[in-house]
Amino acid sequence: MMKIPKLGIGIGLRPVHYEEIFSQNPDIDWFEIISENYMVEGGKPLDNLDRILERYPVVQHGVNLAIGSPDPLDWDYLKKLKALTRRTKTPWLSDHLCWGRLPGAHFHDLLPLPYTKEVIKYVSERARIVQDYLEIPFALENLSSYVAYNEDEMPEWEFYTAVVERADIFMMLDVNNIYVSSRNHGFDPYEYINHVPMERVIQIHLAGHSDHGDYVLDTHDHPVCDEVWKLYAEVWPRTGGVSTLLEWDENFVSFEETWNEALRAKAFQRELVES
Amino acid sequence: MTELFEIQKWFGALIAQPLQADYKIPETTPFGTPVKEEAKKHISPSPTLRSHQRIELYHQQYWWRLLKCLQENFPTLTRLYGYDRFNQEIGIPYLTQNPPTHWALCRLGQSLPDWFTEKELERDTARIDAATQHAFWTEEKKPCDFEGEDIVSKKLTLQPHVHLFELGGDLFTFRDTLLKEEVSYWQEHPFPEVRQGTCFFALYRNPKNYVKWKELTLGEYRLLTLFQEGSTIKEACATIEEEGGEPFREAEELLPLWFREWTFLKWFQEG
Repeated sequence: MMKIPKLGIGIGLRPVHYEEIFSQNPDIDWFEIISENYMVEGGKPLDNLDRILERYPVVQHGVNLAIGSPDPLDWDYLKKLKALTRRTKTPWLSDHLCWGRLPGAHFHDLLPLPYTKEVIKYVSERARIVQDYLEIPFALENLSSYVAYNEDEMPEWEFYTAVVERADIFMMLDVNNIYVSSRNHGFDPYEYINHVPMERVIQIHLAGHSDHGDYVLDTHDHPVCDEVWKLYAEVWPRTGGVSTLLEWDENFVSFEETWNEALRAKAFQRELVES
Repeated sequence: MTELFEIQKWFGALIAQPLQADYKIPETTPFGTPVKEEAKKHISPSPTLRSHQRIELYHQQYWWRLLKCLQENFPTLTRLYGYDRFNQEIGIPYLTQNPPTHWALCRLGQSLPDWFTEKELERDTARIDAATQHAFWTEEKKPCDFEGEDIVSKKLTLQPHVHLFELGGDLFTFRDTLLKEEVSYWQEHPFPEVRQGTCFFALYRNPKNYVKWKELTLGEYRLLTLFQEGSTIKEACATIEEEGGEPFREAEELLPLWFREWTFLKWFQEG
């Protein structure tokens, strides 16, 4: 196993917060960036990134690899992704266990895969190729999902574990996504975390969601709810204290408020260590 | 992987169907079947939602994400139309005809200016919005170094971030005014007047990487257009001399000043 640094508590870097970050140099452990936002040729996005890199560790998280799509891996995309890893010196890189492309079509969404043995084989082979090519630890994130397929042969945690272990890659465990999917599919989130190989977890995501009663959407636009904090308190110690990241992507609050929400994770960690 | 591919093609066909006026998934699928029945083929119900209600969430997410991105990339058009009209009259029909094929969302609206075949205001404001996006992230090639060169015979090319415009009115000032207020404001207030008459502009990224614009004289515009087409200074000057008129008179007087500004702004690239 590769050695993975533990970075502490980070938040997702979003352009609305640049001004406060640059003027106040807040005491943040690290930032996570959406890789695709910086896979550009030049201009202000890369300027801003370089200013962040001068002061903070940055970890890359992607949304468009679409590892389970049926078309060949997009080598133009992967080349740009690798070039960005050289710039950011990200200690690892993550994307989602999903599909999102068809030949000639891009859906720009994280679409769930059928949980079958055949798909495990297909996705894990591709994931291994990606990690080998990028030459850094590669992690896949569990989705928030709203559909289940008739073709499913196993629960999500079994599928997720099998892909990651077969590919010999890592897990980016999104605790909010476990909660959201548990509500949408009617499973026990604690059963999920009890079946995840925690030694594979490289990073944890926390976020808020929108509860519509009959279903829950992963919107990243609310504070983290109590149930998710409880799950986090179970997961984090079992991982050996991996890096934790708060995502906030809609209904932006000030940088200070976002950071205060992330600091709740720090308080949780302190309590857990002390107890 | 035939089965996986078949499910994915099926799923993609359902979620990319045009969004209805009521923002619901169409009742009839592209396969001609009722969506309530079709969805059951591959999607199981949840304790609270039926199969078609579950896939409808993805249909809505697909459209909302793309429409939001298009609104953000075309802020002037969005203010001219308001969110709902923008979605119904521009976003949904344009995206139905031009669905995304690339991972970069900034490419989503690259064909939008040309999509407006008859609406001049919409086409020109879309061109400005699209050029602003492009200038924001495109690369800066190695700036031209005029030191020790035979300058007049040097082929000059503009940086990729420099966009030239010939417009029937001052849409740049108009755009700046619109962008000072939120979309909802312009649904309740009259739009500012557009200064009429042929105007020339350059949109570019300055040395600090901020996207800016400036109005050009006819002479500046003509010369820069010739450089964009690959002329040397000697060839460009010969052309405007031959064409005569205002551009030539301006150039005779102001050419050194123009060049000083253009090189300060690093508008020329090597090669």
